[in-house]
Amino acid sequence: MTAAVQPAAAADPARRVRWGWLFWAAVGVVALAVFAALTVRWIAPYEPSAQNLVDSGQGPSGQHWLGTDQLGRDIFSRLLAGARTGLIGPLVVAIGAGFIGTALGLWTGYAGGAVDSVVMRTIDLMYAVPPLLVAIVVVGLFGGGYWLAVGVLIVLSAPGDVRIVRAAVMAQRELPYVAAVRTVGVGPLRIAVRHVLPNVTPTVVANVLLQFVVGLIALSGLAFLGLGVEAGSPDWGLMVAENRGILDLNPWAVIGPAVCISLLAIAVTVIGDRVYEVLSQRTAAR
Amino acid sequence: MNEPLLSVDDLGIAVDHRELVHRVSLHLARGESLALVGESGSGKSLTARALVSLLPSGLRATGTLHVDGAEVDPTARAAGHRGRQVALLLQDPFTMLNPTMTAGDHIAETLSAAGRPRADVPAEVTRRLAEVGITDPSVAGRYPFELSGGMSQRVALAAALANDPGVLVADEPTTALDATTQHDVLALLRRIQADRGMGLVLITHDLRVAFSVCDRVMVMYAGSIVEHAPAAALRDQPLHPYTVGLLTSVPSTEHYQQRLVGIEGSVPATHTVLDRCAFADRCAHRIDACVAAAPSLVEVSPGRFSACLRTGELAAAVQVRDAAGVRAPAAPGEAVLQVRDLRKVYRSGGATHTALDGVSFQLRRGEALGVVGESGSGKTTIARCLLGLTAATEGEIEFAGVGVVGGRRSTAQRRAVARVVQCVFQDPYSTLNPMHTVGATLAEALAHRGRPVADRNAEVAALLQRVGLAPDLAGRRPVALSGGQRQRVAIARALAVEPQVLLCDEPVAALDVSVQAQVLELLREVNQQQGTSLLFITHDLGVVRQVTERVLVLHRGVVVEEGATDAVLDRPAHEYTQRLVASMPRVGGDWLT
Repeated sequence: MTAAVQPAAAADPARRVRWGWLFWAAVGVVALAVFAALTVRWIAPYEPSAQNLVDSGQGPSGQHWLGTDQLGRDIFSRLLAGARTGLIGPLVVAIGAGFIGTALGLWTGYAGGAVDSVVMRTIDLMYAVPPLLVAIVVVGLFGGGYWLAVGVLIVLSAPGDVRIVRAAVMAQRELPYVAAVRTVGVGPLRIAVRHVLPNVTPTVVANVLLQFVVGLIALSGLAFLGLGVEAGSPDWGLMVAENRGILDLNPWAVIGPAVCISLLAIAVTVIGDRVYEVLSQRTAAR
Repeated sequence: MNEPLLSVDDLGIAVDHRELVHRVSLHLARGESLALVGESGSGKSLTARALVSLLPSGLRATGTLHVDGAEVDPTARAAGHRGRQVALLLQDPFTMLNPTMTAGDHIAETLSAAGRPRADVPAEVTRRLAEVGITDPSVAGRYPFELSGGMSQRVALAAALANDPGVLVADEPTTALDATTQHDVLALLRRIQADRGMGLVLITHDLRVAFSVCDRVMVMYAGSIVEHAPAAALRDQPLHPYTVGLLTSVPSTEHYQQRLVGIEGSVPATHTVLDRCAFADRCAHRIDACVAAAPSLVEVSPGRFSACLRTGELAAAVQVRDAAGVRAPAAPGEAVLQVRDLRKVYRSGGATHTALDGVSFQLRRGEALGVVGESGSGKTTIARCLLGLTAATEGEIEFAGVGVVGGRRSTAQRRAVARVVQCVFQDPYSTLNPMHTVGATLAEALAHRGRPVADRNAEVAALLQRVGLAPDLAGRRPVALSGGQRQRVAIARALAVEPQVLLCDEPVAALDVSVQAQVLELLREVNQQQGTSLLFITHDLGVVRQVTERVLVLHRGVVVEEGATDAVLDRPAHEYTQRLVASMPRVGGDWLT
């Protein structure tokens, strides 16, 4: 008997959960990255891969806002172009791993029994393998390739998603509303998809966003090591690696891409946290 | 009268701009006991917490609080008066004790904090445990998980009393306990209060408990006090229509009532009704003046206060107890459900626990059968076996038209059984999928009935009307509904499948008293008018008396008594049934002795 619980509390607009300014700032950062990725062709002051050896290794100036690299390519333009691989790869990793994780997590969490044991022991086994090391070996062995790196990361990230979704599903499975629909005669597939899945959505969404961050860091890391993206392409991780040599001539050639990676990672993390809090408060309010 | 020990004036509690408790004043003299009675949302627990400066963070309190003449801050984090002068006893005995500390440690901790010499502590712990009726000294060395609910509550009481406080604030101390245990703990509480000459503030939702333990009773509604009177006076002649409604709503354990009268609607949020009588919307005696301004608490006669504009004129009109009704003669048909020698053994690790030990019964068409028992009696296990949510270890269940169905059921078997048995579960807050609208929930159930569904929306609307809800609720989600409304939706979902048996597992246990009666009346109507059989599982003998005509008494997995409800409750034969009947709270008489 907590006195504070009022029926129909969620209908009260004063108590509706708000997103907060930090969330909108983070959304702004991501929107900016998406905008850059889509419009780089028109808004970039220079062709991102155009070389100009005369102006190589310059610091910031009126012509080149963030200076140039060793080959005289405009850093600012390359940062804008880098938003493409910075967004697409991690997004595919997050959605791919999220899809596998949600499907397997929902299945094993709801069905339990032998299916659960087999899948979970397999996942335990995969946990024993260091993911980034495997990625380095596999991508290195097959001679690189951005999409191969993305594929490897999907496979290596999925187990974490399975675990998280499974735990959330198992908590829902014990609730009376599930027993109630079973009693009505609803089949297990429909219960899992139509009843349990919407209730674990906050967890799934937050997890996909977190996976995006992990994917971004991992892909940038691989690029830094020279794996994944093709040499010469505008990628933030690769730029950090390529421009290490001219740190004294134009530090912005390294700081710029590093800040881009960090900002995008932090922004997506903030969004993930907030989405989880708000979604779960909105659904769980009673 | 001497200086009050505890004195609260104009207490207000608010979060953001919403007031939750509004202008509550109370005074407690040394050795006096006061009950704060109200339903959920009445603000009684928050008031109790303010007395010990333990308001949840984020809540603001206004007004003054004096303990033993000294002013204290109700929102202070470290309150000096807490424990020494005012102690708190909480509802749930299982979460109140620290699971990593033994029973004795809980008491010793407070004793040491009070500055008692270390050498005296063990003997004192034994003495304190004896005071709360625990004579076995080995209990001091046990951990909370090794104690029963009643035992835990006694240990918590001993720990709360270790500092010899002047006032004990007990917040629903027996709500989580079984009837027989509740009876013993309340009797103990009353005895200790009298022996020690201690002040007691008892928070409860049950007027029967308040009457038997306390000298004075305050009735709270939507954050305000609506009536305040000596217990005996309030019992014999309640003045406020809400108190009358509350008393009328309690299902009688003694006789069958022709009609169960509840209070329509549900408790409003305090901040929405500050400028008017909070109860006006649910009151049969409302006049225009009631919603024009908030009535104040006025002294009607010495020691009696009521916050109703029409107190004087209504006093003669209100009548609490209705006469004993006559049951309609039942003519049960053929068996729809047969349970034979059901056994269920739970195994965990090496230990086994027998939840059901050979239970057999038969349910006939149109019959209302009660299954009564306390926690651990196995009554919910019967429900789970019937519904196929767990598999019985032995025995068989035969469903009319389907035959014997085992525990492991295919989806086809599950659907066949679903058309025989549907269930209404206990907790209205988790029985509905929070993500689905009421309409979607009902439509899904409709799709699983035997007959095809012609017009889905019309059928959903008809179902809602049948359980007394407005058809436009179909578009809402459970969050927007009150507990009573949710439970009606759950009943509608069960009825949508058109079952022959409605299995009700404590369907009103989580509802407020004023709402219970409406739901019980609805279930009675489903049984009597539509001929659906009821299998009604409950711990409440009043509910059993009103809803069922035959009853099984279950004790530790065994049916110890069976027969016509009136006969079993009036003349219990088995020793356990006698104890159960004797420990049921009653409005009149002293049931605590």
